[in-house]
Amino acid sequence: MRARRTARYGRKKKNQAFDVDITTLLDVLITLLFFLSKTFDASGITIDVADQVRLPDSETQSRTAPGVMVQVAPGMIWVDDKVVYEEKVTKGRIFDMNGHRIIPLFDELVAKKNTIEAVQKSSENAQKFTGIINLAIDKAINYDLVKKVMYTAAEAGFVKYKFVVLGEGGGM
Amino acid sequence: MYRRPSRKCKFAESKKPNLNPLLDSTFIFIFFLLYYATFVHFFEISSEVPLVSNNPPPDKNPPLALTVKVQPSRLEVYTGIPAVRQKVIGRTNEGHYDFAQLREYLFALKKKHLQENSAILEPQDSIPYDELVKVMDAIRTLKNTDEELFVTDKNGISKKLNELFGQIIFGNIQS
Repeated sequence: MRARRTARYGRKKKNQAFDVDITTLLDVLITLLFFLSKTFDASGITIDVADQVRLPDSETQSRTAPGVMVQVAPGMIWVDDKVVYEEKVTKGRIFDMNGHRIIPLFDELVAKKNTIEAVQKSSENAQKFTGIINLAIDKAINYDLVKKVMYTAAEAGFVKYKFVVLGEGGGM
Repeated sequence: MYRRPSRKCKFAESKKPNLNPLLDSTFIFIFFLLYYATFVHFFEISSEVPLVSNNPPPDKNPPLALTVKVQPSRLEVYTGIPAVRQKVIGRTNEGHYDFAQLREYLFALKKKHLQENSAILEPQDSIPYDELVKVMDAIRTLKNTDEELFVTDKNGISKKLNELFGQIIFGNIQS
């Protein structure tokens, strides 16, 4: 009887689970892992540079340190994310001390310093004022303005300049 | 002579490893790495505010007082107090400063003054920041192809130098 049934319906197939070949998927995932491991940054420092600021390339290998960020583009100055000077908008007196100090920048930096020091007094674990200032300056800016920014920062109490630059090749 | 195996004889099927935990962990790891991935790497060049002191230098040896003046057409290297001009470096045919010549001169200077680490930079107002960064790189950087330099610290331990003149001070901020 069994032989007759087999002859009629053909060989009985076993009900097997659908088997997916994941070798290719694994290859892709491992490649992706290596790529992402290369771009992994454990420092935790994030720097948001404005679109108007084109940073110069440098051969330096020192990574950026946390600190107040000043960005300078032609006609604009930011402290962290706040615009403190815009050529077409800012009115009134811009420079003092024989044209060396940029007043809006100085005021904002002093306010930043006071805030950091106030937080430092209120909590022992608060980040201490280090006097570090990160300067992200557009590569087309002349030294004349760079000098004024540095002078203003020094007057406000920021005595350690860190010029933010791109690594070789401008990143990846 | 071997016998042919019977049709009933079944070979043990090779067991496939369970890859589900591996895939799960890989996916989680990928999301973690994506979150912390940075595609543009920022670096820094350090500098400090120049401090003026009337006190005599602590060391008996006179300081090198290396000063590089950046003019639109040339670089001028000065040493000593009062400053004496030692070298004038022009631009190459491509229009850039001759950084190779500058580095060669500074490297020779560094070999004579291994303990010195600072250089004073005095650019003119019209110099673009981009060129200034290149000058700073030439003053600071020791390349892998350069001869290795070692300095002995106070404890007598020899230490390899990683920078040429790493501490750059802008000497004319107030002018």
